[in-house]
Amino acid sequence: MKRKILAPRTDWQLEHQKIGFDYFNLPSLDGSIYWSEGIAYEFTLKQIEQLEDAANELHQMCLAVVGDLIQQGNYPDYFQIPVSTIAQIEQSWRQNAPMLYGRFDFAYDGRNIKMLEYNADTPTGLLEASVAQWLWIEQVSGISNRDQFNSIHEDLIKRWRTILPRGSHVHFAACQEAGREDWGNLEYLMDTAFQAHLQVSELSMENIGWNGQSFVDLNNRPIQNLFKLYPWEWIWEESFSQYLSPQSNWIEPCWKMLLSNKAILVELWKRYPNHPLLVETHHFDPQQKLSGKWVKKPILAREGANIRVLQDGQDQGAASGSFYFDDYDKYGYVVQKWVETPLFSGQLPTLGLWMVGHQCAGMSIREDCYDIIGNDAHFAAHYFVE
Amino acid sequence: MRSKKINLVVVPLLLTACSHNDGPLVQDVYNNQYDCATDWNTETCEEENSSGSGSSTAGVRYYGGFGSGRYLGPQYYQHNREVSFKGNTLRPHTNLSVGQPSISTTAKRYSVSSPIRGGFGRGGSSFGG
Repeated sequence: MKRKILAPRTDWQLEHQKIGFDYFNLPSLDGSIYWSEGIAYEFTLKQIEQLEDAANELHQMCLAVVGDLIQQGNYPDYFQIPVSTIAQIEQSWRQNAPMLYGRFDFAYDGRNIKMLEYNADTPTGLLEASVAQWLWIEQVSGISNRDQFNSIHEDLIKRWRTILPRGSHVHFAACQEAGREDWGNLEYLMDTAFQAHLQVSELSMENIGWNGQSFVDLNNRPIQNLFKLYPWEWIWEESFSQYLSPQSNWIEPCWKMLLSNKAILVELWKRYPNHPLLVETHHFDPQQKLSGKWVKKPILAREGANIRVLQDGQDQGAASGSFYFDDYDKYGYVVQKWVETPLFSGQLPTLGLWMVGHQCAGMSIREDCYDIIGNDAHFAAHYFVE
Repeated sequence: MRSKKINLVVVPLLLTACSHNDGPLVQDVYNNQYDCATDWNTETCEEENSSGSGSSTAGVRYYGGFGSGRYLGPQYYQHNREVSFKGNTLRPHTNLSVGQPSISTTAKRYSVSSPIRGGFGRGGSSFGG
């Protein structure tokens, strides 16, 4: 694994605009922008195969843990699963309600892989991983015999075809006030569904209606299938959740609530202690003084929010690169052993391994000079050589 | 498509923290099925106390009958007396109901009314991760 500096492509900004990746230039605090043109990480084929295998293995481990939890009907308190959601979680699992996609975040030093978390409910960064990165490798010069671990786009189209009959109507919804990045991700997914010969339309979560019988769109048409880029834990806090039923075909399915909750990391460590792909993780107990360096993470949070560093049980403050979002502070926390990852030219890369259905379909990388890959981190392309 | 956020109150009796411009969810009360069907539509009328009725009779005075003969029209919001039924909007021009409309305690799955919106969503920044 190497960090490479390459010549920027001609008109690369225009290339992004052409595919709808119009948030490539979102500003970072250091004055740079989200997409790092001219920066790429090089891997060997063997490393890529190792990463792919790891993601597939971890996904199966996660499913086994979810299956156990549901079979036992015993959800540890630190998941903070509202009682009202349990029936829907269990029914969606037992009905094999299909998942569409998810993203693992890995720490990687070129040899050792450590799963940091599983963004299983509302992962973003998809358009750039799937399309923008692929265009980059087609256009970049100066790398011979290059390839990229990326079949995300094709696999998404195949997955839509697998989970819904041709011609089905899928509504796509995100929060009205969500940023351009979220809407860009949503519209990209909508495009993949359209290419899978599904009917698609878009609306905000706020505009979803209830007519006393079913959820409806702005034309008062029933919503039969909904892809929501909106966290399940928020849905269950809102008034319309009372109308959710097992017939609600929502993607991602409700059982994903267990996977996207960082308490799954605690369960994984319990079931597979000292597994080489896992990082030791426990439920946060303020009375427990863990020796060494740890990070305290909210069980329900995104983009590296609200992460704090603990040293020998003492709070050392917010991890660099983390930001505070009060909405994520009301749930519980886990503590995860600090993972020492080598820096590459002063940058810390985190690898995103994309699951489409139950298979790993590709990889993306974000890097930053901070300890945490947060909202401000940059996207860097990757390639591999044999 | 993004439009202005609409504040929601599904059922004020249950969700007192919310408010709705169209008032609480109510049903008109009729002495007989004929009157109800004249105002609305036979299929949207149900006999009071039939299964699935979620109306509160507390504080509501009825005129005539002893319950078994009374009928309830479809649920609608008090200040917007119309419902959507089989793709058409039913907006009665008559009002043969008796007494005050009954306030519903639950929105019923089997009765289709004009959609209410705003029951999902919250302000804030991006949340994808």
